[in-house]
Amino acid sequence: MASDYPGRTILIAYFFENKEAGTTAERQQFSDELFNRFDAHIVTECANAVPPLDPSPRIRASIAVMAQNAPGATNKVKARRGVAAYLTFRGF
Amino acid sequence: MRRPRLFLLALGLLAVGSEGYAQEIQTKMFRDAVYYEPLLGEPRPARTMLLIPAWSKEFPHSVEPGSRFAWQISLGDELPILTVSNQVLAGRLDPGKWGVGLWIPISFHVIEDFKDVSNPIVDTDYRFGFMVKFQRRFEKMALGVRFVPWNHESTHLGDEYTLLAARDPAFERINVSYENWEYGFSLEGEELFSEGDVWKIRQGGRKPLGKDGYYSDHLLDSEDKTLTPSVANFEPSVGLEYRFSEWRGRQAYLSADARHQTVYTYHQTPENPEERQWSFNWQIGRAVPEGTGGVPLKQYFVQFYRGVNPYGQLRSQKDYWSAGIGFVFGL
Repeated sequence: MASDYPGRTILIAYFFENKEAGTTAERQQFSDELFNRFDAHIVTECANAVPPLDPSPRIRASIAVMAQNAPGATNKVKARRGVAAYLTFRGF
Repeated sequence: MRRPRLFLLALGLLAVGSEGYAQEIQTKMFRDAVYYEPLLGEPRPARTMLLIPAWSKEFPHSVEPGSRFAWQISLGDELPILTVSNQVLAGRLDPGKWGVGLWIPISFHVIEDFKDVSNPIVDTDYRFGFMVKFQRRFEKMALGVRFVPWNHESTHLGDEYTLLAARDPAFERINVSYENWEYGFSLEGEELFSEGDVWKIRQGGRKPLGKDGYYSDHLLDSEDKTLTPSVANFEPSVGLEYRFSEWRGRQAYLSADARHQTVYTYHQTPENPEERQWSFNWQIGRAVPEGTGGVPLKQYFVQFYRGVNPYGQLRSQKDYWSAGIGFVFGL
């Protein structure tokens, strides 16, 4: 699926991993891969949160970047840690 | 040599398929990737490991009889040189993605005996080579290939061990040093029994590149060809690993490696032919999930090894055992 993550968040995430901005095509692929890896897990975790959340693309992108840098044996575990960090940030 | 290379190339092309070419192909220099990580229970991977406290069976030339406290140290790493992948994102490959790369594995393996006088370093083995690793991830599983076209191993008995061993007139200093090639296939997946578990099945093998086997046909201090070269040089291996679901940042695991090893027989005769023995290495422990960075202690475990002594010229000793508690470090 094509990512709806904002380009600025993806630029930061891409730069964090590669120490350079990359091309538009590289960042778009990076964005799509990040979305496909984590977004469904993030939406599920947010829906199960108390209170349930319906995060915007910007928030889902931020959580996905945290998930990408979180420890974990599976993408689901990493996404859960990203969502937990966001919920802590929001004070839930 | 030609057939395994062609086979690996064909397998790689088959696994890459056509869909990958519609995407960006990324080439990265000096960046690591988790395409075919060694099994946690693999006995001689290029990693930094301490086995202490640890115990060992008596060595062939030990002065004091019986089992002994003998710690083991491995220092090493697989140095990443180049990776090519259709995945831009770092981390494990996602379904439909593939990656291939070149690494230089370098490692040193030491065992020290704390029972004999002066606590001798028994043996130190040095290894380095070139390694190509490939992985293609499917929906529920990943296929991996590891191919080492060239690797060198040089082994050295410790000088104090040699001085003590030289009290025996029958002692001979053998030059165990060789170049070899190696291959491995890996099938791995997750969620076999529960959410977050990981399993791996491995099959591999190695063989010296030269026809002269694993060691020189003459002693280190002589040019006379008094030694019979190793004959059964191909050593196949199999491995299994199961990592349980993560708990408190680590996965409990069971890992086992078995390899059919040549028992070096330096003076083969019809009455004393070369033998082979299955060597087993078992580990039970806890490890950080694969690809985790920033945690220096990667795994801790209990290890038990039984089979051919893995150290240098002591590979003439069969039914050897060692056991201990191990720690693997990395960045």
